[in-house]
Amino acid sequence: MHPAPFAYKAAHSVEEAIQLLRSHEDSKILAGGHSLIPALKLRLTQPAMLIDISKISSLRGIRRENGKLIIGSATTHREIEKSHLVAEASPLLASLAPQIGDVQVRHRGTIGGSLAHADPAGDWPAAALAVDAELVIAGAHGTRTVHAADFFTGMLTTVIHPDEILTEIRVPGDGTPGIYLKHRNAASGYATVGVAVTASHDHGHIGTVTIAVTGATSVAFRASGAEHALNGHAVSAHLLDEAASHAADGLECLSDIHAPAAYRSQLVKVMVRRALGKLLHA
Amino acid sequence: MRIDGTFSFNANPEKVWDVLLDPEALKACIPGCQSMTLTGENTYVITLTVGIAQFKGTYDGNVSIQDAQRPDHYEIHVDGKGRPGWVRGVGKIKLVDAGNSTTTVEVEGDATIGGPVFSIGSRFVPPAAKLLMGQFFNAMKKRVEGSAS
Repeated sequence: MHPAPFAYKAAHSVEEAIQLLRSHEDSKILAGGHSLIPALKLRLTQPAMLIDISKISSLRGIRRENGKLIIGSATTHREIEKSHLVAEASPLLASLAPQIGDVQVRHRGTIGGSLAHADPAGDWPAAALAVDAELVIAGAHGTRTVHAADFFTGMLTTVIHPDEILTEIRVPGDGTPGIYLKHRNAASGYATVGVAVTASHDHGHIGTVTIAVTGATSVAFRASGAEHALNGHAVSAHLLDEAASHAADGLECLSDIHAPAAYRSQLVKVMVRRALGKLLHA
Repeated sequence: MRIDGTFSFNANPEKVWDVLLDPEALKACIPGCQSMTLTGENTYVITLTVGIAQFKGTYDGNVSIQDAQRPDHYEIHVDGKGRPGWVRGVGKIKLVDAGNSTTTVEVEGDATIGGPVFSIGSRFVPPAAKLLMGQFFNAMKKRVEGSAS
């Protein structure tokens, strides 16, 4: 289908974009468009106006500041994939970015768009949760910072208000080892289940592990039970087996034509185990 | 597609029953309900605008209450159609006296969905249905418990 008719305006600053959001009811931010435009074409949503933020230079780019990586919300997946800074400072993000969609999608899609859309099968929410990212949101009255743990409130739903824009994502830049493993839908590349894991360890002794899962449930989550079973312990295959076996406890997994709930639940356990194995060598 | 749930109310079954089946309460508590009109005994036509986040749709449908055994159980039959697709379902609602003037409402729902978008977006439908069911029963709970016994 074609989208329903809409007006289009390119904003040249964050302030202008917020002004437009506030003065046009039923307007929507357009960044890469790779979640929004398919929804428009299915007429799942019919905003009266699209506000294009892809030309706002202050929303793009990756820089280091006080030990953190600051990533502009309109930075494309491809820019993150190709960034030496990310490769060095955030192995988890470097592992995840190349796995999104395909290169054409990565040239258009943005990290901010992915996070704001909060698709239950999107990749970035898992990484944001695993690294305890801070999301900076701008509105008419200034900016506010929200922790990833508080950012996703349900399927396709975040704390961003209709007249606000996500401007920056701040993540630790300390080079903590991390990996993203995804069971890809063969057609769309979406995560049937995607697992983001970071692990600090020292000579076979685990410091801190974080495990975040996307694709399995209606909103991405941290597998904190499995994390607690690992933190501070000595690495062993048995420890990792045990922890991973509980990673899907209590989950209400999604069920669709690609995978029934029981399969997703199983995938969570298997993929958590694999990710832990790769990072901790056990 | 199954949609099941359990909800508890701080009121006895008769009271919960009367509110759950009251047309005014239904109109107020069904998420996104724009209009609800009685067309026959325990039968209504209804228009809803409902969805998740920015993804809302308007649906026209029929709702009928069947096999009503006050205050024990009833069935609610729904069929609706909107741009995203159509839905047909039956909910079996059971009210269980849980003692101390409390009631446990058990819902067993079975629905089929179809249409161009529901088939493509089928992974979104069960969580959305659960969310909406939760919204309905939470609104009902406030209504039941709000009106002093």
